Amino acid sequence: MNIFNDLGTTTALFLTLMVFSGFFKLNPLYRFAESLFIGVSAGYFAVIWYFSIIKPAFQSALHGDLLILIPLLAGLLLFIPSTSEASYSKLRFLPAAFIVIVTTAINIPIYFSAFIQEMIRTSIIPLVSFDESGSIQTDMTINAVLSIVSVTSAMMFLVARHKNSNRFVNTTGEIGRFFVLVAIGSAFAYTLLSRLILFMGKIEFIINVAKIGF
Amino acid sequence: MKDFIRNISSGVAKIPQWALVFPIFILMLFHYFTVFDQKSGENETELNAVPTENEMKVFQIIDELPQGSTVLILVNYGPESKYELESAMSALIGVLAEKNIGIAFATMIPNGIESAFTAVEKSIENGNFGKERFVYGHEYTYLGFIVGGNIATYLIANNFDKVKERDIFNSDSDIHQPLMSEIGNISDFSAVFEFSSQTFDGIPGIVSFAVMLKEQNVKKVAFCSSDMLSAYIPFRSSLYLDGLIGGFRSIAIFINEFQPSLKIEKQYRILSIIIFYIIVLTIVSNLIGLAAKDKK
Repeated sequence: MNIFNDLGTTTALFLTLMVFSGFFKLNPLYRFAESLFIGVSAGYFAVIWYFSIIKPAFQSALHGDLLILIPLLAGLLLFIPSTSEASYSKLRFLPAAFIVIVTTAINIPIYFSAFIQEMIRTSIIPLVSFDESGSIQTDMTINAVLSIVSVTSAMMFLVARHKNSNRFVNTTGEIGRFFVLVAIGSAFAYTLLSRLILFMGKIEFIINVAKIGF
Repeated sequence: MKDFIRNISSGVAKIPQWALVFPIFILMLFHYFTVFDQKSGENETELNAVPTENEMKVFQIIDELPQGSTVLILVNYGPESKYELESAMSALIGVLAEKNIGIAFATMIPNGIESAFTAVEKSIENGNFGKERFVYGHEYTYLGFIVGGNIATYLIANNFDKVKERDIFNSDSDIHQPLMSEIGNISDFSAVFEFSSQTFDGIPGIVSFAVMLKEQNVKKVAFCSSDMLSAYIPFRSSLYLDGLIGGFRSIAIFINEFQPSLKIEKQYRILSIIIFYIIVLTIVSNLIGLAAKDKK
């Protein structure tokens, strides 16, 4: 018998039940578990960041790698208070701007390639699909046509939102609105599914602990 | 009639939140005690899901991995997706170990460190290797936490020998990790797998490796949780990824193929019933809401 394993499992069980008690009503037990989770998470992340970033950086600097002082200085600049009226206070924008520019520069080509160029290409090529015998594959062809209609109309929806003078654009935009809502609904449903699996896992955990006993 | 529907609508609105969740809880308990608790060892239910072309492609990639090669597994999920991804990862570890394929684990999120450890422990507990021992440094290794998200990974992918210098325990790889002796660059891996429940600025972690590997013969396969599926599909369509197992259905098919002893089909069945309950609840509540609505 491992007392630490048992202690850990028992603690996990009670904390799980405390969190589930929030389904009925917000109560002190739920709030305790919530606060404990936030505190432990913050502590865990602080330790991970310290050992993964801060400590190795200082060690590198002590071993003569002075280049590490540049990101260190940039990091310190972020701590300049935004309320400061000193002339140097605007220096705090430098590291933030650098992060935004580099992230954008790296991500835009990938976004453009994956989300726009390739999405449009895979939507329309091939527009009409044939099987090995040469007859049209109905499902694939409908899928391709539906893709074109949804991509085009969703773009029209974005245009129609800002400038609604053209009747064609407005009508197509309304169709696009339907596809946008379907996309948002699907994303929401997938998130719900993910959380349900998590809930199921926790129920399984409670049952297993109950079966084994304390 | 209208007043009757309004009365129903206001009655439904008063149902407390817990009462809606309670049937889900009862459904789970009912199935665990009627289906899960049997000691027959036989599969009482069957997974009524046929692998799609995409899932078959992943099976093919895994089957074709050369024996004795090494793969990189990026563990980018935390406890929030443990129940969705851990079994799939455990199944993959088992298959790879059985084929004598070395595994290097790395993570791009702090929570991933713990996830990688527990997945290996689960694989060892399940004993699905077809061998008695799974030796650290020889058959698998932890490269640790890659700090900095995608931006850092682009640089690291170009300069991989720096990442593999030391493992998560700060041991020198030249001495303690014979597995990594032939890996000088990211392209020396036969495949890169990612288990993920998050993206970095909307871009999956594996994509930063895929950008570097697009023209090379290293397979890139992602396993993502259901809530990340819509973020991963474009990258599969644009061929940044060679394979994608996304969402519980695909994961269930994958586990059923490679580790049927986990009996995922039962979880799948419970989930299907719960989703059916939620769909019925949504439709009924919307119909009542629509019927009770005043026409202007």
